[in-house]
Amino acid sequence: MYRLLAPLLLVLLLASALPLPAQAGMPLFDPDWHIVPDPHDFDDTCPVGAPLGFAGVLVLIQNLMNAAVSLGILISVLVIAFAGVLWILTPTNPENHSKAKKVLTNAVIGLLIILSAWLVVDFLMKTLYDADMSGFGPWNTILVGGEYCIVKNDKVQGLFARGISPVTGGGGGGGGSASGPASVGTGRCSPSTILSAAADGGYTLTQAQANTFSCIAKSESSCGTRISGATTPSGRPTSAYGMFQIVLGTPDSACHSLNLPVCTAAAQRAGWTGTGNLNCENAFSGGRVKRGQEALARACQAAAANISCNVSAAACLLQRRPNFGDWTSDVRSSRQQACINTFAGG
Amino acid sequence: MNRTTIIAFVLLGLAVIIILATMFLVFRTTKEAATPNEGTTFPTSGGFPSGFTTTSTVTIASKDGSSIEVSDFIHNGETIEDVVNPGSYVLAGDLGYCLVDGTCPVAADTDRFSISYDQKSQSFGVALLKEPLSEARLEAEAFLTSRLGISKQQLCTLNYYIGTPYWVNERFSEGNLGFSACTESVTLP
Repeated sequence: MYRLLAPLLLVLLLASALPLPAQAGMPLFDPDWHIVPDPHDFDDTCPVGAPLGFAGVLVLIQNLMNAAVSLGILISVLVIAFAGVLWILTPTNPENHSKAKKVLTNAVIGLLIILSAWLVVDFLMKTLYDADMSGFGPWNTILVGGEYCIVKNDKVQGLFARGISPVTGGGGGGGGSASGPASVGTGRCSPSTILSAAADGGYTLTQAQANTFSCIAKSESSCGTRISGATTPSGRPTSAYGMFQIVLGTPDSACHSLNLPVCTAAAQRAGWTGTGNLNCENAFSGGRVKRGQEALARACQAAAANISCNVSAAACLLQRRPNFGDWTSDVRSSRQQACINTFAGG
Repeated sequence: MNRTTIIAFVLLGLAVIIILATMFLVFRTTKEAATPNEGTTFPTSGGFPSGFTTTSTVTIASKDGSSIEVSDFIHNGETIEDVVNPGSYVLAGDLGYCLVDGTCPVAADTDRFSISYDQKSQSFGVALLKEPLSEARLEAEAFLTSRLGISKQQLCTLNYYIGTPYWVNERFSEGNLGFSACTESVTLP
């Protein structure tokens, strides 16, 4: 009887356990997951397949750790199943019995070491880098800063470039498509509206910055008329939203996560019942909504649609990169670059 | 009942629990997937081009400071309110976001252009979303003339911005492209 029962049990255990890794979000079972990340999935301004920057390498390390933990759990389950079968198949053989017990004990201890190592790293990193973080989760999300990709700098000035004053009235020659005429927007993307919207979020912009943003808004979203649906040069959807196409899902503590009171208030208008930070990085991954985070994603998209929230997030990004670099990395951003050249002095 | 039999039954019980847990997870996920999300439209009184009804008129400011009388395009059963931006309305296309409960209000159903109206500045925003842009612009003009009850020439007197995002057409993404009948109109491909 036992010889019939044991294989049946093993098949049942393995068959029933198969969907679980995928359900539990184990990366190895996600067909869209890759160990070496594409920086474009985290930062839309990175070209597809660009070399990894510092933050990208951290994601790679995180992926390697996730893969190792997933593999460890899988092997532990198989070893535990093997020990159980060994135990059942040889009920009367004390040698196999003790061997099965030993294998089972070692497998459980190994599993505990794997999981506790993960928790220890998680705890240590959060304590060392950001004491405000709470709960368990991938530890690399707290490492804010750094670039996801390395982009070739085509704008290196010559050795004496700064010493030469531009000749005025030269007819606007040279410079290709980026040197075309640039102008500020009107209506909902006028400089005055942008100044006022930034103030709603507690940010103060200079007139030059407001003019630059006003001009950029026309290319980014047709002056805030079309706030979603952006695609990459290869036609893939992105998680960029709102007047300034803020990329939701890029891990950071404020700007991309919309962790601003004005954004929470905007999300509440769309039915969000939460009161604290939105933490939008928890809702998106690689331009897609994470499973189980649909409601948060909708709240974030609605917040990003709000002009005050979006302008404040843009102003937040500008504080980090004052050269408007967040709007010029895309290969199609010649018009945005023209706006910067005209209103922000390049 | 000896110890081995007990272990066998415990393992069998575990297998049953795992199967039940898996089924629970699978069915729960299926149900979530069926919840309305971005791809779901909110019922409106109709779709483009004939889903509106209006009998009243409203007065809006024109470019030169005077006023122009148009059909009430806000309360026509088709235009939707942009709830996160009070005073803004969407006449055509979707809002660009869904409400947290999963409903996604959509105005006149079109993916070729998007039209919004800002009550504060009394200005229209038109985004062309598909190539060829010239055709998308003509469709947007036809839509606006039918909803506002004005001629193509009168469109030129409105406060408006018509453009296209850089991810649709980089070259034409900066600047007001103008309606085709207006003097400031840009020739489009």
